[in-house]
Amino acid sequence: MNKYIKNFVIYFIAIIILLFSLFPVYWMILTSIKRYEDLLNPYLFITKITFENYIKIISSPLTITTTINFYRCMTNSIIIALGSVILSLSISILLGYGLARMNFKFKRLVSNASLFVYILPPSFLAIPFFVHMRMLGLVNSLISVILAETIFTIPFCAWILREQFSSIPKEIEESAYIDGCGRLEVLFRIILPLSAPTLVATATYIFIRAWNEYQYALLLLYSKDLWTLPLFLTTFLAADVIPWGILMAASVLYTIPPLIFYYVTERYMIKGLIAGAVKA
Amino acid sequence: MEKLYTFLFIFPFIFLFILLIIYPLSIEIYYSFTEKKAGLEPIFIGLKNFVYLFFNKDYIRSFFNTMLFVGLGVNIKLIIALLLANFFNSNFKFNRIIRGLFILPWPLPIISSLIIFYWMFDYDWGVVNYILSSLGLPKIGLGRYNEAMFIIILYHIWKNLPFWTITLLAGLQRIPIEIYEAARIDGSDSLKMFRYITLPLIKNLYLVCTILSTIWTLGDFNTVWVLTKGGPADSTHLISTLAFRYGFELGDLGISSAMIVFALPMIIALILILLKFLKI
Repeated sequence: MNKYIKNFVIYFIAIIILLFSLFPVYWMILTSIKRYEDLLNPYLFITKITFENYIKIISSPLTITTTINFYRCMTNSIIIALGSVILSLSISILLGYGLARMNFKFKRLVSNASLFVYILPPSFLAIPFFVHMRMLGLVNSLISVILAETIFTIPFCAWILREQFSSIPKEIEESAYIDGCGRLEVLFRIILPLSAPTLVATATYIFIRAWNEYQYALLLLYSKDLWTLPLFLTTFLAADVIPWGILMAASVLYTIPPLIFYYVTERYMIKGLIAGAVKA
Repeated sequence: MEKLYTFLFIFPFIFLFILLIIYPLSIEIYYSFTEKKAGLEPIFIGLKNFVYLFFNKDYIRSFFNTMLFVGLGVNIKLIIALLLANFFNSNFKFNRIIRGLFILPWPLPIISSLIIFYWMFDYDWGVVNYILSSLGLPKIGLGRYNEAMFIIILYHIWKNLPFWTITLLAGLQRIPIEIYEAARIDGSDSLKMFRYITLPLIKNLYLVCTILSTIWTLGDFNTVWVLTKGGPADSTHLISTLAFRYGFELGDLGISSAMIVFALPMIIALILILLKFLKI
C-alpha cells in the first residue's frame, strides 16, 4: 500500500512539472495549426487542423508592419550562428590550450580578463559597442554581430576547453614532441581529436547563443536585408492586430534548429558544460 | 620559438578583448561624464548626469525592479531547482524520459518562448485569462505593473529552471550513495537525510549557482524588452532596458552610459565575491 502511495505522489509531481514545462510549447504548436476562425477560441484541444499559416510563411515575403522575407532572415541567422561558431571556437581553442599548457608572464592577467568578460552582462556594453562599431564602419553588417557573439562566448568556451585539455595526460604530448612534432601539429593531431565531445558541446553552446541573439542584432542591423529571425518575429508584435497563427508558425520554424542541435548533442552538453560548472 | 607560439595562442583573444571590450567600456565611462546626444559631439559636464539620475524616478524604479527581478527570480528558481534535483535523483520508472521532456524550455529560443508568453497572457484572448475567468478569478495582463512583474519573473523561472535543476542534479549525483545507505540503516527518514546529508554537501555548489545566476540575470534584457518594452509608463524597466531606451530610442547616450557606469560597481563587487568563492 505504502508503495502505491509513493508511486502516486511521484507521478503526480511528474505530471505537474511536465504541464508547467511543456504547456507553453504545446500552446505554440497548437496555435500555429489552428484555423483562422478558431484562433480566438482558447479551447485546449482542437479537432480541425490546418497548415495554412506555414504555407503563408513559406511563400514569403510577408507584409506585416513592413515587408519582410523569412528566407532572408533565416539565411542571416544561419550565417551569424555558423560564423560565430567558427570564429569563437578557433580563438577559444587557442586560448584554452594556451592557458592549459603554456607558461607565460601575464597568464593570471589573461585569465582574469577572460573572467571579467564572462561576468560582464552583454547588455551593459550594448550602446558603446554600437558607437564603437560605427567608428570602425562595421555597423549594419553581419560581421559586427558575429564579433559581439564571439567575444562574449570565448571566456566560457575557453574555460571548458582548458579543463578538457588539462585532463589529457602530458606524456602523450611529450612523446609526440620527441617524435619531432611541433606545437600546432600536436594540437591538431592529438589534442583536438581526443577532445571531440567537448568541442561538439562548446560548438552547440555558441550556436544556440548566437541563434538567440536579439539586443545586438536590434542595435547593429538596421537594414531589413540583414535582419535575423528574432527581429523578424518581434516585428509582428508591433502590428495593430497581431496575426498570432502566422507568428506561432514562424516561431515553430525558428525553434526547430536549436532543438535538433541540442537533443543530438545532449549527452555531450550535460557531460561537458554542466560537469565543468559543478567541478568549480 | 616558444615565445612566438605563446603569442600566437594568446594574442587573438587579447586583441578582441581590447578592441571589443576595453575600447567600448572606455567610451561608456567617458560618455557618462558628458552631455552626449545622438549625432552631436560630447560636452564634458562632470558629475551632472549622476546627479540627474539620483533624482530620476524611472532610474530609481529600475534599480528597485532589478533587485526585485533578480532577488525573487533567482532565489525562487534555485529553491525549486534544488527540490526538483532531489526529486530526479530518486529511482523511478520513466525518470530519464520525464527529465528529457522537462528540459525542453532550456534549449528553446528565448524570443520565441517570450512571444508564447506574450500570447498566453494576452488580456483579451490569451489562454491563461480564459482559464482564470472560467474559474471565476480576475484576469491578469501585461498592462499593469504588479501583474507584469509577476509574469516577467514567472517567465524567468520557467525558462531557466531546467538548467539549474540539471546542474544541481549533477552535484547531487556526486554524493556517494553509501552515505545514504548508512543513514537508512541508522533509521533516518528521507526528510532527515535531506537536511543532514544533502544540504551540507550541496551547499557550496548551491552558493556558486546563486552567484552565477545572479550575474546572468542582472544583465537580462530580452525578457522585459519583449514582454512589456518597459511599460506601462516606463514602470517595469530594468537597468539594462532603461539604459537601452535612453541610448537607443531617446538618443541620450550620456545619460544611458551614466546609468550603466553607476550600476557597474555592483557588478565588480559581485566579481570579487565570486572570485572569493571559486578561489581562482
